[in-house]
Amino acid sequence: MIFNSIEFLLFALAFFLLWPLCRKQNLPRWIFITSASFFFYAWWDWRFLFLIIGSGLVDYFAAFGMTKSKKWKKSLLVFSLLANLGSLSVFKYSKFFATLVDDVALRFGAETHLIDHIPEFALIVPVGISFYTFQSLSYTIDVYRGRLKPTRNILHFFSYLSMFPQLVAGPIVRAKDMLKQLERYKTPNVLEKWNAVKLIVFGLFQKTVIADNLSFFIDSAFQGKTPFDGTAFWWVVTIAFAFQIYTDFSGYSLIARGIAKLMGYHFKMNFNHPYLSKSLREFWGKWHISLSTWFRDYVYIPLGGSQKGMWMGFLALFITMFLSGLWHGANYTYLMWALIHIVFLQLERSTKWTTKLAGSAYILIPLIFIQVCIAWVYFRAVNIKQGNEIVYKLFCFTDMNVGFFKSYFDNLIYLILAIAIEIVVYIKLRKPKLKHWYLAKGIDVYTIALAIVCIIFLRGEGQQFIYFQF
Amino acid sequence: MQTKHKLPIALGLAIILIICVKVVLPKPFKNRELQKEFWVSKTHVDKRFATVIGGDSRVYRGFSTEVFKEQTGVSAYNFAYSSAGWSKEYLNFLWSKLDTSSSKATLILGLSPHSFTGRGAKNEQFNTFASLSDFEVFRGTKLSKYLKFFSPYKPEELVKGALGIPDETMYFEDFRSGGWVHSHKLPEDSTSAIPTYQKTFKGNHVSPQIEAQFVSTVGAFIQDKSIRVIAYRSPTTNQMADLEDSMSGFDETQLKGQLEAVGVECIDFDNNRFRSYDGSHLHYEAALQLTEELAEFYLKKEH
Repeated sequence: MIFNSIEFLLFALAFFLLWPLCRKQNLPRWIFITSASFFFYAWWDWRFLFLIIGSGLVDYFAAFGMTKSKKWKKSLLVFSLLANLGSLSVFKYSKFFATLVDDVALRFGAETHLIDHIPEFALIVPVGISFYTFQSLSYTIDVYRGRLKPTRNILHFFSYLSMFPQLVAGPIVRAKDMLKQLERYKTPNVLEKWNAVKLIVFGLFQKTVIADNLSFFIDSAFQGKTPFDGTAFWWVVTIAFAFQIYTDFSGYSLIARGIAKLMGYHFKMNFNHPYLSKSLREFWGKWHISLSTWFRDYVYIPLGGSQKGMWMGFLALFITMFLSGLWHGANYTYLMWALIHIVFLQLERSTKWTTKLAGSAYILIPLIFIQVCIAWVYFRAVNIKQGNEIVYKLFCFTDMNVGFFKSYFDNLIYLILAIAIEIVVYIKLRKPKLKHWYLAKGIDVYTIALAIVCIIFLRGEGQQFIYFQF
Repeated sequence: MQTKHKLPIALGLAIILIICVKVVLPKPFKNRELQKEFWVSKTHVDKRFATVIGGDSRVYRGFSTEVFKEQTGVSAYNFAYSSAGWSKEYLNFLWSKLDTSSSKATLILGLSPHSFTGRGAKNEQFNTFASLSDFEVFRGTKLSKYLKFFSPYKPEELVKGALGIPDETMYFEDFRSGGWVHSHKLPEDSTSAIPTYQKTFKGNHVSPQIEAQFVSTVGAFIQDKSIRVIAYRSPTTNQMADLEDSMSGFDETQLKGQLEAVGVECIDFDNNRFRSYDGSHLHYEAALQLTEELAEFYLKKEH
């Protein structure tokens, strides 16, 4: 049930029709949110509901136990970590590690065939497993650290963990933000409702008009179903993918935030125009913010961050980015993507080149974007070999023919639109008066009306959200 | 403007704009909802047919069930899919659609080298539609007739419509109820598909296992219910056929021998007699001609 489907439209209509009847008291509210969210998840595959419930029960009782017994606190945290990361490993990484072990064993002349011994069910990656596992983990870690008081009510906990707008693709909301909100009943005011509608419409626009219209062009290129293969072609493909993954994921996050807002809840921003960043560090503060801050708070800072010298700082950065790559999936391409970011981040940190060029936004923004794009090549490539070939083509400047524009006009026009929107945002951010004028003159009303028409008549071929696979 | 008025004004304005679009603009050149309905109905049609046609895009563009029915008086359905390959699942699907109780039960299979490769056997398009949920099937078959009013436009057609540019570069596709896609393309270029196929066959060769499985499964069909199976290599350009044979390792003569040995009736077509609009697929006029010849063969050797 994806947000841009008729199924979801019907589900949302039913939900918001019943919501006013259930939202006033805690218990009916939590029961309603939990059952609706379980229904939403079960629409994909009801068999994997047991994973959310299992993972949730472990963390609920582990956190509860931590407050009861100080002696067992650490053991309970370890148990929670093992249970969560264990299930994540089984479903997401077993195939990868089995292949790795088989390959290594083969090099030493042994045949282990671990891959053949993995049960079939473990080869299916449950939708959104990385998102809800991390969300659940943050709960026990925060309780362990004494930053959060665990909830006594299991329905309260599950309404936080399974809340459908963010269940399958984030944003990864923290218990300390959401549990408190879920204890209250708040009807959104007129402004909040309008902002919610704006978030949903802009999110749908990003997903259906930009991302879905770019997908055919990008898929054709990466699947080798196109006659074009030159430098100019691959640069356009790479930039198109950068915008596809951004608008696809950002679109989902905006819709999730809008739905939550209509329910009376607030999710933090997950994307803040990352391609306008003037350093890679800034990019990571604006891209998938809920995951970046998760890794910052639970991995990078506990490892010492940048406070313990250059080498320890590098180690912390390496481990954090490596785990971030692994979080996306069990594939060498994601690790390569992470490695490229590690190299560029470390270069930026040690040479401070972006600080030296601080005033030159027009140079920095494209340079940072190029770095991000090179990393995206591996993120999207089928394997490292394909990634290497594409990067080679990007920089060998063999064929600068742009004849493919004609063949893919119907797709590439949306890339131009996406870039134009970011340029308008950049201008708006630099000129606050323009933003004020935009709101005062009610331009947002016309923009929303136009966006609705575009969603209906210019939508691309319906695709799943890219981040569902993570 | 007061905030409380913004939502109703935006919605009202959107409705006006939607009406304007429907009134001012012509119907979209390709109605995506109807296309979806075509593929979902093709995959999930409840009926069984006396003649079932299988193969890849050369077959769904190259075999008109309307003409076949007209000539033979036998019900037929074209169950071909893009880049389809002869996997066991796909053959079983064709079998499940064949009315084996009919005395005229016939499978007509259009072969191409790609349909015997590993990539072909993945049957991506077929699997996409075969694995749809009940709701998606309901949406595709029952709601499409309402949703077709909101079928999206391609920017190119909007630009051309606005500037009054005639359609000189268009891919015409008419999705017919019997599973045939009546197709042609402007400008016609009988070499345009060559580079794509050169890429397609890089590291993607005909698999002897898929060929052997195909022969044995089809042979079992004939043995099991004494049905009739007709196979032909889908006509294309000579240049394409040479490229496919050299790059994929396809041995047509050998396969034909194996098929005939299990009781399949094979028919040869001369590529020179059929017109292709892109170097791979048949122009609709050639598709009609091919269907007529197949119908003739069907009637001549009717069992």
